[in-house]
Amino acid sequence: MNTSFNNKKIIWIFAFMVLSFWLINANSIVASLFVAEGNQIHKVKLEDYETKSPVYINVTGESSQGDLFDIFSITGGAFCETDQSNSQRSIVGILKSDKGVYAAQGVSAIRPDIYYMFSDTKQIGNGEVGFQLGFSTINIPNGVYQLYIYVHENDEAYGLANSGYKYIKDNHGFRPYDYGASVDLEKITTEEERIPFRFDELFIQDDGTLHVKGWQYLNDIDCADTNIYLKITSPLNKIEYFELKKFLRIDIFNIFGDKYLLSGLSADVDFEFFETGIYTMHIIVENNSNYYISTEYEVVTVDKQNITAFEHRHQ
Amino acid sequence: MPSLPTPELNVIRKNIVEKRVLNLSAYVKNMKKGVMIGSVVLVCLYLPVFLYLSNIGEVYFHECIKPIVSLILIGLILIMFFLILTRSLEKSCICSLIFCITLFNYALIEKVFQIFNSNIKYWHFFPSLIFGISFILYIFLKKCSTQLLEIILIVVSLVIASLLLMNIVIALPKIISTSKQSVENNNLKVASNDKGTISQENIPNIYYFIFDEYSSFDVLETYFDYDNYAFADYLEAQGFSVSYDSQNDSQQTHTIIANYINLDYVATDDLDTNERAELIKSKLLFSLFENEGYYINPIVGADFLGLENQVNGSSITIEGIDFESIIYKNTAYYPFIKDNSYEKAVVYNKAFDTFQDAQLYKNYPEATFHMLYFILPHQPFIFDQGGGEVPLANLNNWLNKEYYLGQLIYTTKRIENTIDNIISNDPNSIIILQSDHSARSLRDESGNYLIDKYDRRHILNAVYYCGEDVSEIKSKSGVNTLRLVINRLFDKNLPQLEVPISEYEF
Repeated sequence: MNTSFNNKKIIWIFAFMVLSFWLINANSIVASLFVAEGNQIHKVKLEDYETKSPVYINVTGESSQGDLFDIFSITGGAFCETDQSNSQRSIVGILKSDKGVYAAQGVSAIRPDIYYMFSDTKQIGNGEVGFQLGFSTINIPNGVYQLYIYVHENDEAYGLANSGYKYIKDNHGFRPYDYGASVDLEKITTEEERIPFRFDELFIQDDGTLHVKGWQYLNDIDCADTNIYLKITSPLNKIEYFELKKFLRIDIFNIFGDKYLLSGLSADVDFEFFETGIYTMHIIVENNSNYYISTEYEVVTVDKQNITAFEHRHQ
Repeated sequence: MPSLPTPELNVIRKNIVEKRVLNLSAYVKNMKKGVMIGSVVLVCLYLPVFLYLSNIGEVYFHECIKPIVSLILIGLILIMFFLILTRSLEKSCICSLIFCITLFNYALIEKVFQIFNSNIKYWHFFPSLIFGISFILYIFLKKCSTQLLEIILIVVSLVIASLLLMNIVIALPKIISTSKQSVENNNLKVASNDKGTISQENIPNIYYFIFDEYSSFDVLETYFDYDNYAFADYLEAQGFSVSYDSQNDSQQTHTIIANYINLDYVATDDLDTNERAELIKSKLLFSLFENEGYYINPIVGADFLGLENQVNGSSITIEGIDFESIIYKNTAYYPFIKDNSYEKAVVYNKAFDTFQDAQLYKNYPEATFHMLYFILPHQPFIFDQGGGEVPLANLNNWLNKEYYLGQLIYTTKRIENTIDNIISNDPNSIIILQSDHSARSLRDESGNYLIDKYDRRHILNAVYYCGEDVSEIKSKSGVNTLRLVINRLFDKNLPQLEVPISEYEF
C-alpha cells in the first residue's frame, strides 16, 4: 500500500519536472520546429551588417496576424540607389533592444507607390523597392525594439539603416510602440536653435486627447537616429513631456535633404488637463542620449477645451 | 382445482417480490449508468447545439451533424480510457465530464489567462492545464464516495439538459419564423418582378465569374508551355463565344475591377489604391441590373466588390470560416484549424459546389445576377491540379511554374464542371467568364520577370448567351464585352470605348 502510494508520488513528481522543463524551453522548441523558416527570427550582431550606401526606408504597414506564433508583419519600401541589376536583392529586418538584436529574413516586393515617391529624385532601377517582413515574436524577450532594415541590392549597393520605427513587447504581446504617452524627461540640458518645426494639425479630440501632426528635424542629424518629444507648458506652469511618432515626409525630404526623410511628427497626446488659457509647446529632440530643446515654440490658445488659435514663435 | 397450501403460496409470493425488487434494482442501476454516460454525452452536445441555436437562420442543421458526432465520439473514447484507468464507471464519467468541459471550451479558458499575459501560449497552457486537472481529479477521486459522484453526475445531467431545453425554447420563435421565411422564399420564385424595362418572361439569369490572374490562352502557351486550348474547345462546344485576343487597359486588379464595375475606364493605375477601392464599391454594374429588375446574388469574393457574401448550402463568416470550424475553434483543437489561405480553399470549393445544388436555380426570383469573384489562379497557390493542398512554403512560389499551373488546371476543371451544371439546369442563361489580367509574377532564378508587360494585360474572355452566337465580343476588352452583353440584353446602345493603355511597368 505504502509502496504503491510512493510510486504514484514519484510519477507525479516526475511528471511535474518534465512539465517544468518543457515550460522553460517550449518557446525555443516550438519556434525551431513549427515556425516556418521565413518567419523565424535569429539572434545576430548589428556589426555583421555593413553599410556601403544610404538606405531609404518607408514603413507603410504594421499588423499582428493574431496567430499561434504571434507573427508580426511589417511592410513598406526600402532601397539603396543603384544603376545595376538588383536581381539578387535581399532584405533583412532587424530588431534591436537592450536585451539583444534579432534578425528576420524579409521578402522583396514590388511597390509602385514607393517607386513613384522617389523615382524623380533617386536612382531606382525598377519597381522592386518594397519589402515584407513576417516574423514570429514568441521567442524574443519583452522590451522596446528599434527596427533597422538591411537592404542588399547588389555588391555595389547595400546598407543598414534605422527605420525610425519602434515596437514594444510586453505581457500584452508585440505591437507598435505607444506614442503620445506622458514620459519623464529630466535630462534636457541644451537649447538648440537648429530645430525647426511646424504643426500642420493641432486640435483637441472628442476623447480629450491632443492630436498633433507636423514636421521637425535637428539640423544635420538624420531623423532616423533621433527620438522626438513634445513639451507642453500649461498656463499654471505645469510641464509635461510626451513622446511623438516619426513618419515619412516626402515634401520635407525633397526640400531639405535626405537626412530628413523621417521628419514627420504625429501623436494623439494623452494630456488631460487642458483649461482655458495660453499654453506653450516646444519640440525636444534626442540624439545619442543628448536632449535638445527647440528655441522655436508654439503658442496655443485654449478656450473651453478647444484650441482656438496657435502661433509659431522664435525666441 | 386443489388450492396450494398457504406456506408454499407465501414462498412463491416472496420469490416474485424478490425478483421484482431485483429487476427494479437492475433497472435503477442501468438507469444510473445511462444517466452517468448521458451526462458526458449532454456536455458533448452542448457546444454545437448552443452555437447552432444561437445562429439559427444563418446555419444549416446538417452542418452541425459532423461536429456533434465527433464530439460525442471523443466523449465516449474518454469514458473508455478512464474506465480502464480507474475501473469505475462513476470515476470514469466524472473524469470524462471534466475533460470534455475543459477541452471543448479550451479556447475560452486560454483567452481568460491570456488577458493577464498574452505570452502564455498554447504549448504552455495546454500541458499545464491537463496536468493541473489530472492532479486535482486524482486528489478529488481519492477522497470522494461513489454516491457523491453519482449525485454530481445526475445534477450535471439535469443542469445541461435544462440549459439545452432553455436554448431550444429561446430559439423557438426564430425556428418558426425561419421555416415561414423559407416557404415565402419558395413562393418568391413564382412572383413576378415589376421593375425594369425588359419583359419578365424568359429573362436570362446572369452568372458573372471573374477569375483573378487567369491567363489568356496565348500567355499560357508562350510562357508556361501549357496548351489550354482544350478548355477553349470545351467552351465553344458548350455554346460559348471565346475571344482569344482580348486585352485590358491595365494589369492591376484594382484598376481593372473598378473599370468593370463602372463599365468605363474611370480608374487608372496612378490612382491611390483606396480611391480605386472606392470606385469598385460604387456598384454601378449591380445598380444597373437591379434597376432592370435583377436580384443580385453575390456568391463569393463579394466583400472585395462591396457586396455581402453568401455561399449557398452552408454558412461562412466574412473571414471565410465555416460553421464546423467555428465549433472546433472553441476547442483545444483550435491551433490545428487551417490558416486563412487554406480556409479560402474551403470557400472556393463551396462556391463551385453551389452550382451542383439544383436548389440554386429555384431559390431565387427568376432574374438573378450571380456574382462570383475568385482570387484564382492568383497566388497564394492553395490548390494543386487535383485540388489537394500545396505546402505552405510554396504558397507564393513563382519560380516554379507548376504551382501557378496546378492552381489554374484545378480552377479550369471546376469551371467546366460548373458550366455543365449551369447549362443543364439553366440553359437560357448568360454566363460571362473573365479574368482581369494574365499571370504577372513568373520569374527566373535571378529574379527577372519573364512575362512581357503588355502580354500580362491579356485576359480570359468568353460569353455564353442563351446558347446564341455572340462573336462580337471577339478582340474586345473586358469592359467593352460587358457593354456588348448589356446592349444586347436590355436593347441599349452603350458605345464601345477606346481602351487606354497603361504604361505602368510592373
